[in-house]
Amino acid sequence: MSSLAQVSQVAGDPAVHPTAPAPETEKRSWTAYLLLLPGVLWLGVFFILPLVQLAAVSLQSRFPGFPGYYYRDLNFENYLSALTDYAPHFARSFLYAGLATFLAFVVAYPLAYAMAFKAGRWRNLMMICVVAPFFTSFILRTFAWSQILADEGPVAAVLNFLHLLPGGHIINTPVAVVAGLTYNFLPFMVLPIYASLERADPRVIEAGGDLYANGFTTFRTVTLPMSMPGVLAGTLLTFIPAAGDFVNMELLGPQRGKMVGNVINDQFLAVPGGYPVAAALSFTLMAAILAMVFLYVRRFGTDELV
Amino acid sequence: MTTTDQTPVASPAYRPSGAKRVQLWLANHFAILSAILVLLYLFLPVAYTFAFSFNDHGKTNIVWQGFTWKHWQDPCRVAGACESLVTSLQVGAISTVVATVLGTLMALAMVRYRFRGKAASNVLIFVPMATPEIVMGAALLTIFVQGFANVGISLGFTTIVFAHIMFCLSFVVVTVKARIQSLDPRIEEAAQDLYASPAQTFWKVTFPLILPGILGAAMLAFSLSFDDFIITNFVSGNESTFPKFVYVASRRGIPAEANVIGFSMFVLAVLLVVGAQVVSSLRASRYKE
Amino acid sequence: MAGFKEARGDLQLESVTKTFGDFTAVDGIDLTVPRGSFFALLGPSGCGKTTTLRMVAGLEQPTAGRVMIGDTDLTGSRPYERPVNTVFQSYALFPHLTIRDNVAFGPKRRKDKDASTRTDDALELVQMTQFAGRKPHQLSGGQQQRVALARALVNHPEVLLLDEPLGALDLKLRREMQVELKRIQTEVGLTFIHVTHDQEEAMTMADTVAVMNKGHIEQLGPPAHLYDLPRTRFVANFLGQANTGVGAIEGTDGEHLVADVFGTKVKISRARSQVHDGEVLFGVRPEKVTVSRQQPQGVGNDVKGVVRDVSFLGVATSYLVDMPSGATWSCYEQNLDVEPIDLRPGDEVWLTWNPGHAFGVPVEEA
Repeated sequence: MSSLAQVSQVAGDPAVHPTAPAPETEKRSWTAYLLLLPGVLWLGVFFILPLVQLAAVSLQSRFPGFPGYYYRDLNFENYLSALTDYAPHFARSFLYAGLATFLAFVVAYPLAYAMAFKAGRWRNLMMICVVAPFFTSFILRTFAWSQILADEGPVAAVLNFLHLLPGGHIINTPVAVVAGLTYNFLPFMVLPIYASLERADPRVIEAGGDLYANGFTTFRTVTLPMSMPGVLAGTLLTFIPAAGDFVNMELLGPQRGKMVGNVINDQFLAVPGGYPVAAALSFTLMAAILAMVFLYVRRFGTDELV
Repeated sequence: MTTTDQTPVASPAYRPSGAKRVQLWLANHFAILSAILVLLYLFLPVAYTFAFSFNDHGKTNIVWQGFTWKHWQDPCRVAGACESLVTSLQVGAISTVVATVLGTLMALAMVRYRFRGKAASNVLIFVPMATPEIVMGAALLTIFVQGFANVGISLGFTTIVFAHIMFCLSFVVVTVKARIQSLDPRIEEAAQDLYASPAQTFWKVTFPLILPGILGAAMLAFSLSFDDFIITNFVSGNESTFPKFVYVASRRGIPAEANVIGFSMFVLAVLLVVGAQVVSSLRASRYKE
Repeated sequence: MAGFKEARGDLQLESVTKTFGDFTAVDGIDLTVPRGSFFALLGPSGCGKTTTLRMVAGLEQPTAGRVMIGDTDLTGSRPYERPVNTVFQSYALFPHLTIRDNVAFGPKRRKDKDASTRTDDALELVQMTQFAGRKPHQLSGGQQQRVALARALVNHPEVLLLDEPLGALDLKLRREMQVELKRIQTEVGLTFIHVTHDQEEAMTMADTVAVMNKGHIEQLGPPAHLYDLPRTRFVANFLGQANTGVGAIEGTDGEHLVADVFGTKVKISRARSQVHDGEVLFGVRPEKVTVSRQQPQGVGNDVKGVVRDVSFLGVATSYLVDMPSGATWSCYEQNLDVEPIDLRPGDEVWLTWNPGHAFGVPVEEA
């Protein structure tokens, strides 16, 4: 995710040295702990502590006869229930998020490539264009998609006219959900890929063209591997929020066949006494995602991530 | 590059056919053409939001029914719209300031010092970014309801701010850290060599040089906070932010006034960013001959 | 300014050592640099020269030993407390400040009342006055180099350190700046310590050169002395070219040592050899070797070889000659004769040299 961070910096700044600094400047001192303390405390109180509490809740049992009341327990049945009753929801979450991630990659790569190698002086403007739509509220944009994909909207009309829409609807189908997920997390895919392509030396790609001649072979053997750190960061940054999302399903998706995010949300906020199972679902989701991230970190090293 | 000595001989004679030339042109411009299409795709919902801010709609604002200025004349007419916007701006401002300060301090510690527990701190900073919002929201809800409520902090403005600072913090650290890492350490050594004390070195040299990174981090933090819905929905209680207002309204139909506010924020943000770019490029060209 | 040390006098390093973990970068260096001299620290990368410089600047603290200027002990003091300034490798100009503010940075920190006039003078000295309002990235490499120099000089430091200051410039500009630096040093009369891996640069500019290798100073002296009479194998090879051979000392002949090198008797002036018995590495510079078709009479010190390559260089002709020992020697003959000896690869030639021009050093690398 360092690549994401670098994007936010003004390009061509003279203070920035692309090469690794030569002298050793790290100091060893108590000052470091003083600097870290407030932030670490904050993360401790508002990230670690809540997770511990969530873990405790996920093992609680309901007080019989008193909906909304629980007692401390080691009730692993919540997890069993999470994994058996809601297995289809997990499957849908990962399937839709995976599809959205793949589609976002397909859409994002040419854009990132054009920004890095073809845009020239339009580069900064293109960057603004990528980020700008995200200054309108996420919910408003998703709602706009529900209008665009509505039965009365242009997309359904055109597809129906061409008889390409077997069910007659896009809205309230999984297709609309995947479309919404793809759209909403696209910049998280574009920016890291752009950052890693921008750091690549275009001469290396030219050399690749010189050696392999064929454009696609050059792309597959030279360009894509060079942008791999960005692609993987982008994949994570798209997949993680997409897998936990419920808003796209709520605004664009069908009434039945929800994602795990919707279940967690409803169990917490709408179902009395739903806390323990919802907490178990949250933990399972987090564990699954962290396992993925862990594999990624093991494969490519932490430096790429933080 | 063995081709170079052959090209002059080959090129004058070689003239591709028409179809071949179209194909070549497409191949050469494939990236830029698809980039333009993707940008149009990105802006489509924004355009929709803008267009439907003029819709003279009845109960729901889904189908076009006629043009009107009335939503732009008084966007605050709808109960809760402007109140929630003000809340969002306040939450965004406070969270941004606190997260930026705390995150910058952490970034300085992470880059400039060696200490025990550095790897653990790295993980602590990274994991919140890899945690789905819904899990963070759920966890915060349980601790706020079952823990903080006992010490008199109930769900509302305060808990929203607490949560927003938390999830913005990691992004600030990562952004500022990248900027500090890319600084040439010799520039700071030069300042010390030229009689600047450590404090002077920081304020006269280090800080101005990492300021663009800090400002970028602050912008990122504000936009994350301003647009957050999932976590806010868990921890807000009866308080309403702008995204929450829109989401709740979407059940009965989002009023066009929300489109007015959302689109105005978009224009404002774009103007700010473009303005900053123009100022910095003007500054850069001022000394040029 | 609190803690600032107003020291005057020669720079002295007393058995200065610096270790990084297991690695000894600088190993017990003793060094005196007279006030007002132009001193070069020369050596390959990793020899400890930059670390030595950084210890003088205060950017590193020695693991052991003392750094003194005159009678003032600077060991342990911070960089901003020392009357020492540095011209950094790649210049390290402040990118957010104008050229003028870059140069004025030091005087302002020291609350100098004449900061403004001194800044103007320094810019004048390096001929950068007309660029005072620009930012560093708007200047060329050579101009940035001048600003870096002005930014250090404006403080009138007791010692000015230059860390590979010309490394980033192209050859022509480097030559110009060498002359320029020498002029400025003469004009301001400060002690300059110049770190470089470029032996030619060190020899052209410095009054005294110290050749460093693996954390030690191998040899120290005026450039001409080092070139003429190297005392170690490393110096012989690092400074200019040297034709060398290993021989066993068999005896003496008056002022000369006689060594057997692959069956040939070679004479070395006794005073010019560091070893007087056992094995010796003798050497002679290419321009001191004479090439001829016939065996020269009466001189001794002659070896027969086979020409491998001839290159005409204009002022001189360079020959590569394969020796019986298997080594290849290099010889320069000035083109003084109208009809030069017309040698071709494969021809047999006699090489000869004056015993007073040869030198002997220990065979073992230090």
